[in-house]
Amino acid sequence: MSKLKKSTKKIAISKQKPSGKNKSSGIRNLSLEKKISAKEAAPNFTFSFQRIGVTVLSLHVESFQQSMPPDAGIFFVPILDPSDEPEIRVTVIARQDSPGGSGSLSLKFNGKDVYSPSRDFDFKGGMGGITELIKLPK
Amino acid sequence: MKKIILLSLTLLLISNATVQAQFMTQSAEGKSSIPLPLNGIGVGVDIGKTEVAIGLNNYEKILRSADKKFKNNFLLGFNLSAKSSDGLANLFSGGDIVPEGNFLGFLGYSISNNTKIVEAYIKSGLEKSLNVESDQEKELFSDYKSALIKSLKSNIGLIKNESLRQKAKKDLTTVIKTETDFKNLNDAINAYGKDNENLKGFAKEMKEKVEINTVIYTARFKKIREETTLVATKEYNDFIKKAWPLRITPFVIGGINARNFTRYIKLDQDNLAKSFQDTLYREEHLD
Repeated sequence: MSKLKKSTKKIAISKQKPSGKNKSSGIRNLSLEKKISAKEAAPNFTFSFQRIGVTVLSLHVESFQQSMPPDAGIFFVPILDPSDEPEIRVTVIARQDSPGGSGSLSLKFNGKDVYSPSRDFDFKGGMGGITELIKLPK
Repeated sequence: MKKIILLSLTLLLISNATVQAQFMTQSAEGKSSIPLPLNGIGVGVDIGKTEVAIGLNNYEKILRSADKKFKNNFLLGFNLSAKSSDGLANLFSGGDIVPEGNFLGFLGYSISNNTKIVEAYIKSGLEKSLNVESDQEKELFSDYKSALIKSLKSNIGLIKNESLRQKAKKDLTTVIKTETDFKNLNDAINAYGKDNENLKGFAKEMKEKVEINTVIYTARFKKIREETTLVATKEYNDFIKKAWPLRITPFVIGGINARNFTRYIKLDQDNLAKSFQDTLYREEHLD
């Protein structure tokens, strides 16, 4: 169990408030520091699983990983893909608890659907999930 | 009256419901099954059979359990239903209700290998390849930032005003160090001082450097992605193929069926109603 806990990367959400410095400056964009602090504090992804007879064992989105994730949650993960249409890597590991069990993932980036509306898991022999690169909505 | 109370309770329970659970104890027909926001609790209403059923179980929690603690794998639940055994027709035609109810409880223990599968996944080549990709991308982004810091140092001299120069150096250094998102970082640098006459020359040079470094960064980023995709796809398929999901849930189930019916005693010609007597039939069972 301790191994599972260690493997779960918790995302610390900063509660730092803008400092208010540089307010008097005549130069534009001098409050960038404040803006960045605010951006980092906000989770940019929300997820939810719809499942019947399926247990999700792991969710991996870019550098975010969670074992035995809840049915819904939020997290922040930086987007490092420089392309005009950046992609994220999504990997889900799930098991069927009953034959014919099905599940899907809904994922939103900054409130917009990454999947429209959800991505079904693929199963083979009771195990399955998702592994793919998917474009982020603009 | 009891029916009204039960129906009122049902409506009260579902007033703020969102679907998050499957009503495991509902019949195969699944008529009017109402999953409630509390995992493992459901209410069923079958108007045709004038039946109301409520079920509660902790099976949802057990399915998600990844540890070996006894309390987290202990299965407990019940299903309670009440109906008019003569159905809707008699209820409306005669106004009579012949009540029938049953209580069904179950107790068991569930064993699964969720923990082992998760541990195997963490040690798997798939997880390693994803972590390696993540580390490589972070390292690459760090290199990109270093290149921007270098560009900043070489171009900061283009700002002639001392205070503006110091300010720009401090602000952009902070941006480069703290920004975690590629696009946001580029947008911030490209926007810095572009409308200020004293900073225009510097801003233009920085924008060019950003463009050059982005091209280099993009090529290296794509290479990491392509290499990981090849490895991760293979490792994913291997893991899915080798993982062996297992769950054993021995349990006992028992309950009580009760039905109120009208039993014929003897013919009473003076008062026909006295020919019958309300009788409660009750049956216990354990499987």
